[in-house]
Amino acid sequence: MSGNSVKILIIEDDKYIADFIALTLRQHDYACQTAASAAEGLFLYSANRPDIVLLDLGLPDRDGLEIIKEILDIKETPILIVSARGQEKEKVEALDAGADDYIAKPFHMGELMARIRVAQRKLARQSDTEESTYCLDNLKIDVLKRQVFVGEDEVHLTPLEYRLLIIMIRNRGRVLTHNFIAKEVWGYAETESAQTIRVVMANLRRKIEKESAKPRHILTEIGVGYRFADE
Amino acid sequence: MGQMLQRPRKGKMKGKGWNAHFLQVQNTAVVLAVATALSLGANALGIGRESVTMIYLLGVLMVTVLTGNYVSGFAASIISVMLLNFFFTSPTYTFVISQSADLITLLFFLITAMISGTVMSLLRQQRELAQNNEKTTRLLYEFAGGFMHVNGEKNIAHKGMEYILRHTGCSSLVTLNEGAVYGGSANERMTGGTAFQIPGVSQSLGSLKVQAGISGIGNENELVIKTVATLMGTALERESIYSERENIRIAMEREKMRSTFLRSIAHDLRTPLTALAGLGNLLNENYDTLTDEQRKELAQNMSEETTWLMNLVENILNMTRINEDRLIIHKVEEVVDDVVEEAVRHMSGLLHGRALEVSLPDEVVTAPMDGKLIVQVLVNLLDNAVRHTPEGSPIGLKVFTQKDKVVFEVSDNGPGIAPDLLNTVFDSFVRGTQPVSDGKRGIGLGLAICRAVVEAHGGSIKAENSVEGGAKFTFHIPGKESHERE
Repeated sequence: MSGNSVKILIIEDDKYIADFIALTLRQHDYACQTAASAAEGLFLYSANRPDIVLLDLGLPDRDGLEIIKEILDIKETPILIVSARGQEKEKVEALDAGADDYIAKPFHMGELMARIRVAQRKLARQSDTEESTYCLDNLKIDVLKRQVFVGEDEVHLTPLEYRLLIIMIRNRGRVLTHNFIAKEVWGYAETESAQTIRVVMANLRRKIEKESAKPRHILTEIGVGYRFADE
Repeated sequence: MGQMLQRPRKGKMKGKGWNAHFLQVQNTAVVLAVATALSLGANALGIGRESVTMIYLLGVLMVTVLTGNYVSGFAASIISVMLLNFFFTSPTYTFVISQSADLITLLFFLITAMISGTVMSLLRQQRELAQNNEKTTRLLYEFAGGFMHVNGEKNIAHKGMEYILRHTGCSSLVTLNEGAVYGGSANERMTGGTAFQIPGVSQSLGSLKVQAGISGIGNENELVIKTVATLMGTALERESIYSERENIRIAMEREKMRSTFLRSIAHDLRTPLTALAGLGNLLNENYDTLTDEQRKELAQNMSEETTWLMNLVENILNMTRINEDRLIIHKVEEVVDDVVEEAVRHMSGLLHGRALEVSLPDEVVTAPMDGKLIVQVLVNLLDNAVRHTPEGSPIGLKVFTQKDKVVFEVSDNGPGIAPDLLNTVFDSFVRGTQPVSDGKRGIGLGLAICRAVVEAHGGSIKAENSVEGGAKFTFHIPGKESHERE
């Protein structure tokens, strides 16, 4: 898959990382620019309106959360967070602030490319209307009839499981925090609701996955939330 | 000590009051009556006056013995003289003395009776003193011995209160300077009562409040309480010295561990770094002369080395967290599936053709845990299995519940663990004294982290060789609920 005319802005203060990300992206035909500080990044953003932003949370001049808000105020843009390991709290905050996804350092370029493809698909999908069926591998969902099939067999889901599944599919490819899911389902988020989500998710996974230890569709991001596989 | 022992005697006298005096008077009267009756009988039988005097003398001695008091001895002597005078000197039945010999006899009798009475009562006092001394020594011995075997602030306080209750019948309350309060239930802390200091070497360690009865504490009980307070002070002081020494020992051990840790890391970093530098150089300097195939292989090797380094750094980071402050963990009810999935996903690229067979419990199991750390434990165990098995051999990961525990089991069918290492595999840097062989990868660091993490979760980990061959690592953490599959 090539980048065609997709423009990517990399805001990252580490020169080596920024360079090698840019190099890889250019090889895949993406147009990219790099910024070493928040100020430079925001300037380049307003000037060039990139389609996707790659944002390092640990910038020297400004707080990552502020940058996310500022970018989203200008225009709805997929933002990918690049963070160090073990910063779960910051990650969750960034995701709740509107970032689309995150990738933890150190990462493999393959992972990053996959995330960028997800963001790209989201861009393409934005104009589309709500799909009435969803199909990936052996999983088929008929939204109108509220039916879920694994292979040829229909699977019976509880209303809560079905709702979770639909929320995940609507946001497929993105990491959904426990908070986000709880708010979507109940309208508010509490500690207990995160606990309920974990259990419901595990049950759902047992119903639609062939092997729950090596899931095809619902992936866990420990300490952050869940991601519905998009490819 | 002498002063200490006199006081209780006085207290006793005061305490006895009029009843005791009455008893003494009664005793004296009875003894003298008996002596008079005997003397009258003897006199009727024609036995001489000398023997009669002896009977009275015996009576006076008995009075002293019975009453233990020289005042009554004196009184008995004087009464005896009067009785002798009345009944046995001529003219009888009068208090008149007609013969000077009788007067002298009576006088000598009086002196002898008084001296022997005094000596007798002194002897008795001595005996009482000795008995008291013995009792006090016994108490002291009991207290001191009792505190000897008591450890911990709480136990010391309770022991002290127990002694006070047993020997004085008073309930008490211990308040230590650090703020801990023992004794009495929370809602009925005593309001009145007498406070005693618990002495320490340099300063008072706290206070001991004793709730006395209506009659007050009393001198003897006060002594007991003060003794207990002093012994409590000594015991508490001993306790604090002990814990201080323990802290120093732990700090020293930690310091030692830290330096070993650094040395280990340096060793472990050197190998892959040397390899990386070499590979990079080779690629850079001979790029044109290398074939595409060779270049690809070199790059592949570099990326493998780096992956290994990343895992090492991850472990080092966790290790520092563990070393810092006894590992701070953030426990959340985590579904076991999620943790296993993340670990399996992490390992997917590192298995090199080995099949990973995963078995999960049938129902959804959750347990309070720090998900990231348990993932790290699983990754380390799986990585360990990968490193010790030939390519293509299967590795098993099994999770099941046992009563209220969640058990994780990682097994392989490699050569197993050397028997002499079985007990030490989880110790960090076991190789400490042995020379580090640079060819061999990985230190006990990974497994040491496993143990630290599992223990911080209140579980335990063990390594064994399974009967079918191969190594088996099992750890369990306390779980709570299992949710039935809907």
